[in-house]
Amino acid sequence: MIEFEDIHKAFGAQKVLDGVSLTVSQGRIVYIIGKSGAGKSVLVKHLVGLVRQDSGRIRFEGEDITHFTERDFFGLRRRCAMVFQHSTLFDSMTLVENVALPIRRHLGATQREALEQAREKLALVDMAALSDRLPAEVGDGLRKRVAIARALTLTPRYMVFDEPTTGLDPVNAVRVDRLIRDLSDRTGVTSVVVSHDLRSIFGVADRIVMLYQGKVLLDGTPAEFRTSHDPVVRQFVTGAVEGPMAL
Amino acid sequence: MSDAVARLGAGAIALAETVGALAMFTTRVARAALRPRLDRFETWRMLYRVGVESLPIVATTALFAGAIAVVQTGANVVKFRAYEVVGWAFGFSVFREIGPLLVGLMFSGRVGANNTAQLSTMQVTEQVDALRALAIDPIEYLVLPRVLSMVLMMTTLAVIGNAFALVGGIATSWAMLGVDPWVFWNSFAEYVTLTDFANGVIKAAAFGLAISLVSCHFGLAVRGGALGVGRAVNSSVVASAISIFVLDYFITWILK
Repeated sequence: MIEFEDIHKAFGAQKVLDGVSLTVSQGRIVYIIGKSGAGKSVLVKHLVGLVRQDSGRIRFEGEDITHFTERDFFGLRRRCAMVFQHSTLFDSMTLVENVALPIRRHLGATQREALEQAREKLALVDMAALSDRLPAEVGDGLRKRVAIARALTLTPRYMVFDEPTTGLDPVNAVRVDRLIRDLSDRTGVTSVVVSHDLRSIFGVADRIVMLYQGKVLLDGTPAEFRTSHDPVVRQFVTGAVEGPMAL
Repeated sequence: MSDAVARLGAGAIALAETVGALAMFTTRVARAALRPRLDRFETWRMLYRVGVESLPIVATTALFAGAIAVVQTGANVVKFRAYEVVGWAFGFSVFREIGPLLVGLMFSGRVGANNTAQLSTMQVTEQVDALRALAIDPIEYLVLPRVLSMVLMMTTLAVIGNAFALVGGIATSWAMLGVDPWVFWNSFAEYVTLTDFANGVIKAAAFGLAISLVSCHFGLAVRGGALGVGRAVNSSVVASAISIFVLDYFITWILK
């Protein structure tokens, strides 16, 4: 279980999170939604220690990680992997070398063994045929799949996905959605997903949390979002240009 | 007047911040070096990139540095007919001073700038955060192999550079001054000591350490996008050059 309790975060004068509290239960898929700049990515980066809160408390599997040092977070990051919005593959390495890196560093494998295991992981996301290409030589959707394969190498119990379907064609977006759903259904992985993609949100989420003006506006099931009468939620869900949602 | 004072003060604060941040970064690297978990694959790759790929440019620089040293002393050698000391004069100046200094500056321009550009690009494209998210310490994985490679390869390249400078010196003194290569060699071998050689090697190692720390620091401390990368590379090259001259002064003074 993951618990965020009254998280505040500002960058200079700009307040991004203003008392966000939410809980993510084991094995569930929770989508964090909100307009661009609402603080969704900032919130989830707190979980793996890439951003530190100004105040508030975070618990991970019952352990208070609020004051974890960078070194403390290394243990947690092996249990909670993150897939970034822009894939962030290492551009000086081939795709298979990208996936092999955490295997070599954490599982004590030699480079040859790590490459073999990495090819198997790439096969799971249908990328084995392109494994010797550089990230710059493949498209966004393919890079995203490799990033997911890389994040899964250490078999984490928790996954954070930052806009996993943004910029993907519909077919690749559905593949990524299925992957997230399968991870939860087959292996019990808990996923926290940041997204704007309504098709993905309503197709995959167990629960949805909407951030607005630094706070949680609504925390509920997809059905509750569909039937909500809150004007901001309505505007987001329907994609209406006119409405109360400030730019 | 008050504007000038304010600018001076802001400059002093910025300098203090940079020196302080560099000192803190060096402490982090030193702490990581105490319990090194070097990535062998990355270290070999860096040794190749830093050393082997720099060899042609360093050899060319050293060859001409040796030749220039002889050209500069040529007029006085002819004037005083001091042909038998040209090898010594060459060895003393090139091995102790000109060789490591020029190789250091070339190394800073080629390897240091490249290193800052690579690390800062990784930083602004979140690749460094991706490493952290994979529970891989960027200091252990990115910085330690670079520091080790730059110190080892700068030292090695300075030694190889000395050999090329010697070839340049012998060829030039023969072609320009008519000094027989054996006369040059005998003068060099008799008067240039191991201390002169060691002096240059120590300087090269210190320059390699300074270039590696400065270039890694500016690479990882970058803020902003492409503009930030450009600024980081610029700052790195300037700071590396300054640190080379400052270190050269102090090492020369200590080992005099």
